[in-house]
Amino acid sequence: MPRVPPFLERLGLGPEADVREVRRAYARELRRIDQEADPRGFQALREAYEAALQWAERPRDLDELDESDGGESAAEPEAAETFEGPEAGGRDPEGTEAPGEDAPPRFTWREAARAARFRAGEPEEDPAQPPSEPDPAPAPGWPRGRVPPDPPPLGSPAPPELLARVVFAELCAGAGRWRHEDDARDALERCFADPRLAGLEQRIELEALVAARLSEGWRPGNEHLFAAALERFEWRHDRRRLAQLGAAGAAVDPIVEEAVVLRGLEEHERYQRVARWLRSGARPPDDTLETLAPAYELLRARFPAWLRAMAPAEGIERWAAALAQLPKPAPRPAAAPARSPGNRWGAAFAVIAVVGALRICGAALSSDARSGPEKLRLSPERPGLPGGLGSPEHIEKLLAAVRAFQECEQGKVQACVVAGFAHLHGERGVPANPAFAAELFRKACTLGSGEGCLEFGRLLQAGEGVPRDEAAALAHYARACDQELPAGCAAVAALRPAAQEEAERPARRKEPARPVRGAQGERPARPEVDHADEWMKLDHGGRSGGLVRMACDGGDAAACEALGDRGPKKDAAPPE
Amino acid sequence: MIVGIDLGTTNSLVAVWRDGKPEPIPNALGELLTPSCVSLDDDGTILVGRAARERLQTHPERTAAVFKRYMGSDRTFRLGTREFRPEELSALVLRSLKADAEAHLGVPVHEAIVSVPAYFSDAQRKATRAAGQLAGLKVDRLLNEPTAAALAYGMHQRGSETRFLVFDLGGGTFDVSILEMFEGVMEVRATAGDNLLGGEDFNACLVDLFFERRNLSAALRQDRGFLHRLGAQAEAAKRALSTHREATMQVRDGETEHALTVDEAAFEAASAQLLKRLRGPVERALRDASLRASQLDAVVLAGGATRMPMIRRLATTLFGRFPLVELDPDQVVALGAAVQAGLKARDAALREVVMTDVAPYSMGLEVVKRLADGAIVAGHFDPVIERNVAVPVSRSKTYFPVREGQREIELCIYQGEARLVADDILLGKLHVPLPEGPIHECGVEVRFTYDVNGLLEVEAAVLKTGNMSRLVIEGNPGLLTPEEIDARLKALSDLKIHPRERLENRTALARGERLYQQLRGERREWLAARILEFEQILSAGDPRRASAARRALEDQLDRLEREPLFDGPG
Repeated sequence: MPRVPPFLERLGLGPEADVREVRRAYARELRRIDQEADPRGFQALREAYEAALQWAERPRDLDELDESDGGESAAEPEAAETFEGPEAGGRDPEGTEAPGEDAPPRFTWREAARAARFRAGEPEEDPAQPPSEPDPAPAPGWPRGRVPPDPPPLGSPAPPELLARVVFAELCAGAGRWRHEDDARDALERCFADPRLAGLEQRIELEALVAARLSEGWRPGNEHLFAAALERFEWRHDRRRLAQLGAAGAAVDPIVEEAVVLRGLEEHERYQRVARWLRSGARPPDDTLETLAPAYELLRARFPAWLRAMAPAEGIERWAAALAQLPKPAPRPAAAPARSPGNRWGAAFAVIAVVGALRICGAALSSDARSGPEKLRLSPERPGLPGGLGSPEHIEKLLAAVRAFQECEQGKVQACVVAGFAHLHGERGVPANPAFAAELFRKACTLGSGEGCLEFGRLLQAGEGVPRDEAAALAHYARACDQELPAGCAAVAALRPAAQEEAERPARRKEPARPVRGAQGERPARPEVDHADEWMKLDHGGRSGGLVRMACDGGDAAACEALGDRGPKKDAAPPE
Repeated sequence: MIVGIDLGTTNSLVAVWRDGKPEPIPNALGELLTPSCVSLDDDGTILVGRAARERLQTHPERTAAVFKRYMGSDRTFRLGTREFRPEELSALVLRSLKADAEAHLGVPVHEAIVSVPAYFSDAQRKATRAAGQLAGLKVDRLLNEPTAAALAYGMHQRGSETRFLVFDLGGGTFDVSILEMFEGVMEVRATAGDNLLGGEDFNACLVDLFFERRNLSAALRQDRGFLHRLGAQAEAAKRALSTHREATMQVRDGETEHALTVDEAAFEAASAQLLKRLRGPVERALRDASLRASQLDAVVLAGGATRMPMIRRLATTLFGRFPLVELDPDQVVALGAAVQAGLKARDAALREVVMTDVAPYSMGLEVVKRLADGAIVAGHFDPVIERNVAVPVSRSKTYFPVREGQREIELCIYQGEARLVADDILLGKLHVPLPEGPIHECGVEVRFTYDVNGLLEVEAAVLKTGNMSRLVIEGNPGLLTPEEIDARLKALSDLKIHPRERLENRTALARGERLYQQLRGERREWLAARILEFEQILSAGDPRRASAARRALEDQLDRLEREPLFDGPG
């Protein structure tokens, strides 16, 4: 005979002990222990007891499992017939018995997981299936012998499972017509206000059914149902709630996890936009496709469960194909090269798009990063990246630069200067990009930074990143000098003989500041960051994750928007 | 002698384990419930209980109530010129209960089991202990209120194998717990609750309804005296609605009289949001115990607020059965605490009984989460101790730094169930310096130890060096240091407590004053004369005459209170 497991030994039991014996032994041992004085002893006993209980319960569970498995395999096609329309029909004339056959004999919440196997209520996209039909006819088909022996709740003669299924079927019947998550929320609220759902068991059953539906990939209305369920069932605020719904819950859990992270991102709406396009089934115009490509790639790489739950698999694949066919974003010389200051910002945004995409995907910082979406999906572990590019440190530096840019957008002068220098020299993991650096310095200058004026002036004078313009350079040096920067005054002195005309230029200063998107200004300042220099300290802090999250996704999104809305791609060529 | 004390939001009660059963102890007025109110009398003495509750309306600036809700915070209450912390006010109530118990039992009482809402956090529990200390009571053991209620019922049903749910809606908190009894073991299977949901919130609904229906100005919301008067009317109306179809609230603002008649349906509609919130904890407890409602043998109601018919109806629909109310819901927690006192004293009648409790909430650390592609996001919660495991419990987990070369780990300790720590409660932080070396050598073993009283200790050991750190929750404004407790103890001992033997007379007087304030016209003058007479008799100093006069006055007050305050609803 097998050796006695230690937990049974601790309780003085043999391997054949049943639940009652386990409990009695535990009670006996418990009296010998002072819980307060001997917490370790108590814990050891408790662990032995819990293991022994499982041991004692296990064989019976296995029997039941077999039994319910048998019932289930028979039930599945029937269920399909009941709810999925005539094409599955004809296999079993007694389709109405399906729910009963499917009900397992033992009722723990884990087994609400069976809801996952029971595909209830999907008539919405099927014109052949009127919404009222999925009612699985409570009375006649319910096999009496397998109904739980407990008395049914007051005022509700039907078993809770059945009630929940009927209500759920009604809920799903409307799913295809939901246009907004509020519709789903209202529908769910109506379910809970329904007297048939007054009892606790029905409610939990309904939750299991909703989880089951969501776990099976996207269907029309699921995106709204998910949003409503997240709130209504507290899936976000109670980690363990889904765990108690068995297999369906376990399948929904990663979706919720990802959704929670995703919602924390500032560019949440952008990902929703991708999902909306994917759901629409239409192929977006090339421009949009290209604009949304980074967000799409990020979703695939980072939020796969969420994406599967929010969009049809075919749509996701179709996009991948469309993106692969997309022409390489070769420079388009014809596209209005001098379209006023906006295009410069287009360039700036494009750079950030690259930086963002690289960070997002943890990929190599190669100059052709934008040439094809497939390249963007390199993982940081991918071997052979040159010079530590794509390493976590590198990505973090990138993030820092992106963040400085974001802060600059929000009007933090010092951040503009810092980001400007980073982009000017290609420091901190950012590729050198004088054009972008020039924009940052100019912005700093308009925000009142003498240093910014000085640096912008130098770039103007040298024609680095901006067209050479000595008059404008002089004007900016003068501003730097006004800000009591000796270097500015010196530059003015050096340049003045060379350039005679000035003074009409300052008006130009104002134009470039405009293209910063209105929405950017309204973005709430992130409380975690209260100093522009903060990003330099990134490497010294204790926990880096918070910073990573903070930095997430502001920059690349702005860039994509700029590209999508204003169109100019001429400056989009990545920096060398 | 050890007693059990239910230190409630609205009322408190002390009970003792005697002759093989728990027994409630009456206070100086001969009543079982002592309102958890403290007032500073005009002569500078401290009044606790009903007299203080009467003065809530007449002297709101010298009286405090509902301070349990602020335990563990740095909110203070001003009585006259002196500021009191919630611990001190609780200590004054505890002290009064202690005196009652000593008078009743004839022996000194040194130790008490004090019940706390299961959902009380670490800081709130420590504050409760401090209150005991300030009252001169040793409070070794804190007992979760629903567990106490379950114990009381368990003793009631001793010997049977049963499984039941306790639905405990008190004055300020809502707790649910599921208890299973077998072989003399009373095992709490699961606990859930809401710390800010109780009878007081139903009163507030009635107050809001009053403001809304009578179009009262927002300025009146600032008038403490008015609010207390209206609050008392709401409380009375709530009670009346338990037995009557409708009730009238009447309150005077200066010379204006306001009145509102509410029927049960209107009350229920106004409380709809509260009723909705009751469902959550019930569902959670059942799920955690892996039980369905139909697998329970009974549903037990505890807490005064479960007297409301709408609560009983809700419980009936929730569970599909009628709940049991075999014990007085106001007393059941104190009785359970007394059972625990008997257990602690190893009373012979309880030799065969053992009780195990659970941790009511999860505790863990903030961690970063790695996404599918390796990117990391911070702010996620990682549990070390899961809720509803049997206590005492000690669990450990090993954590690693996020980056190479990291010199320190900051462990942020949270309590709660949410996925993101932003939605959980921060308990404290612990900084652990790391040795040099690659990430995999910098593991830190973090051990959480949670004891039967619900107090948490966190230790962290750097595996490589073996250096230990222990959590000291710093900078929590809601906690007193031992030195502060000593100082407060001294300050409290300077306070003069109103003599216990004169409390009955004082209470009658306070009630008379309160009624005087509410009345107008003839009846007011008449009452003033009665009060004056009574005061004269009191000053004469003949206890026999005084108590006769008091009884007469109480009769008159009873009669006055039965009549409507003013003529017809305003």
